[in-house]
Amino acid sequence: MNRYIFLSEPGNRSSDLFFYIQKALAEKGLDKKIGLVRTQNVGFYSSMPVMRVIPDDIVYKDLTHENINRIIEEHFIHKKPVTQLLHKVASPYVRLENRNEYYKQFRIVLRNMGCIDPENIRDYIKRDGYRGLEKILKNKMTPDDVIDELKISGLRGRGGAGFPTWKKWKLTQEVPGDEKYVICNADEGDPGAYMDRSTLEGDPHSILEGMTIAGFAVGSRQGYIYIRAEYPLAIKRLEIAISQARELGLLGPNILGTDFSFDIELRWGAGAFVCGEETALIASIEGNRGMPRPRPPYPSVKGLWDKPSVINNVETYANVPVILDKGGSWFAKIGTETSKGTKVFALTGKTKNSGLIEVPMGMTLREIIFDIGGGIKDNKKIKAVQTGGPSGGVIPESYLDTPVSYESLQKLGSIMGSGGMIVMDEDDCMVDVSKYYLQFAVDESCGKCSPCRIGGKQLYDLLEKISKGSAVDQDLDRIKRIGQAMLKASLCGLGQNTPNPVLSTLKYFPEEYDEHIRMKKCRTGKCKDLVTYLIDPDKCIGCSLCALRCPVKAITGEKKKPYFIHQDMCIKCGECYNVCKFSAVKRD
Amino acid sequence: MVKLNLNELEKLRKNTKDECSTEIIVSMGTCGIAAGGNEVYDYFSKEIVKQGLPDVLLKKTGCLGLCYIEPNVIVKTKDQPAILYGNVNMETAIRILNEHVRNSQIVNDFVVAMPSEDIYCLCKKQPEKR
Ligand SMILES: Cc1cc2nc3c(=O)[nH]c(=O)nc-3n(C[C@H](O)[C@H](O)[C@H](O)COP(=O)(O)O)c2cc1C
Ligand code: SF4
Ligand code: SF4
Repeated sequence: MNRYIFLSEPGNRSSDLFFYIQKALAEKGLDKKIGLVRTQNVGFYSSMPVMRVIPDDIVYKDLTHENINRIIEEHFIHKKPVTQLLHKVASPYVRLENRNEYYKQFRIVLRNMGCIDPENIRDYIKRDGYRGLEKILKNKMTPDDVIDELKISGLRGRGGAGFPTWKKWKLTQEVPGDEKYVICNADEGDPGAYMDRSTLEGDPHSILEGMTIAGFAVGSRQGYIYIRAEYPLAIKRLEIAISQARELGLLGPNILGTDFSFDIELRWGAGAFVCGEETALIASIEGNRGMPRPRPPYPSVKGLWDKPSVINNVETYANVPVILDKGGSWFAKIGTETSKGTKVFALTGKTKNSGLIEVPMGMTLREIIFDIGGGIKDNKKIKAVQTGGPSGGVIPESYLDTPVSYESLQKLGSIMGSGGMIVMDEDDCMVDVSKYYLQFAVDESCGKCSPCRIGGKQLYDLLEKISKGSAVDQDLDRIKRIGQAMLKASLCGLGQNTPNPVLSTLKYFPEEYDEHIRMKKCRTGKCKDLVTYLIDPDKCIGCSLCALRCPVKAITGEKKKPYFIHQDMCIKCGECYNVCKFSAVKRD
Repeated sequence: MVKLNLNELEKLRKNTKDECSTEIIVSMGTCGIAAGGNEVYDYFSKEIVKQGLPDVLLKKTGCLGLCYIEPNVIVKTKDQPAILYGNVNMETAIRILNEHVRNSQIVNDFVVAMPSEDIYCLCKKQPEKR
């Protein structure tokens, strides 16, 4: 075999198309030279079927029989790609020469996933690992050179707020003194987000190298990774990576035989969400209770043990070695004007494919959800997408063509956040979703300042009222007022952002709130106090399916006669509604 | 191991060669392990010894991002493109070993297309571009 065709069809079934290509190849005597493989595909959903030709790495679309004959004739016999049928999907936001134009995703942070053994430093080195650091030391770059390179790259923090990384480093570098710290924030507490965990598990050396470069740039000799104890595999792999790096002289005294020394230790967190906030995190490393303190002074000037400290997110550090290796201007060719590079998202919720993805900044939410995520499960309709977890907001369907960047998401009332992206469909109730996030924020509030401690609880109680059907119109104004107060007066980002989920759903889905308040109805059935399930005796044929399914045996009846739901027992799980084949169960 | 100096790192990078002609790589992040990646890994590791396949290297890797079809397994052989398999249970693992690793027959039906291009030389083992 010297070429392969990877055919992707919707549903991953063997179809006529597969056999047609097989036959066509055989007729031309190519079946021994060209292998035909059926694949499940990622990233081409809107245009299946498609075929990828390896090793040319070209993708063809519009696979009619006629076109297949043409591809075989022109591509495989005359060795000339059929340009009219090429399926180029690459984002225009990757402005690199010679880039492959057939992929939606572009991986910088996840560059080594699937290629290296995270427990073997040689694998990382072989794939150009530690070359960024090597370049700095070999070319005798100064700390200012490193910071300049970062400035050119335009890299901004991936932990949520998007502060320019070079500026943070510069601030720390400028403070005199030689006791400074480099901290990696691996606390990752957003529900639904696991980008940082996967990066640490799959490529721990990229973080170590990124932190070491930061240490060089700001003049620090010691780094700490603050990681939650719930990530045992990431901790284990980091420990292995640190000891292997020390053995090779890539960490510790006199790195690579130079006079630059830097070492890294782990610090475990107990998993409180607020400990992801930088000042609370620092307090926790110091052995104090994890509570935020007012800023300024910022940690870059007065951080760990009151010493200047750089604190960055896992994903931020993972970008750094590539920027130093390939150059800041290479990096700056990816992304939008103000948001450079890529972003990793944990795509979850109602998409067909959930998982980790990395896309250039500027890709639209629609491309992410439909082309990469494969659209919505069970052919349901998309309602909204949530970004930024408990600190973010929802973005409705009508804004899905927004290109992803720090500014664009903020303008819509959400935030980029650390990268959780939860897709919601018509079955998700916006009141219920807001209530879920508020519950989370109330549980995780540290209680130090009253706007967050009291305001959060008030907001939650108001939402609880709405979901029970006992709210009045004025409650919506109250929500807005409390939200504004929390935004202005809370001490840290947790309290400031707690109102975001409810304010954004209120902005985009006022009719759902209205239904709950005035009509005492929840169209999705998620707010259990507002629904009743009833069996329509005219439609029920008495098949007994619902009675068999009901987890609390609330349905009784005789076969072939209409069944009946005992309301006093019903827990409103909706099973009967979903299972009835004759639409006899009504949700009211 | 001896500590490297400035010139030795590049040497190590160049000299780290692939020791085996065939690689089996199992995705073993938390998601892969939760989906059963461990068992698949153990199966390969036992069989490689039992069947005497010194030319096959078994490796772990982190999450590929394709969490919805874990466990994932990548097979690289000398003259075939790297093949990524999804939803690999024991049954599929047995077929991958017998058909693909031992007989170069790609196990159709479980193949997944790679989701992204590689900024560093993905799938080095692919035949050269023409
Ligand atoms: C309540 C709260 C939780 C946070 N959790 C995290 C987290 O889990 N990981 C993280 O990197 N940043 C988190 N942050 C942001 C950090 O305070 C800080 O801005 C970030 O680590 C800076 O890194 P960056 O510049 O690389 O983004 C959190 C902030 C707040 C207010
Ligand atoms: S805003 Fe909330 S979490 Fe932050 S300091 Fe105040 S009480 Fe604590
Ligand atoms: S909603 Fe659930 S608990 Fe109520 S009758 Fe139907 S199946 Fe039973």
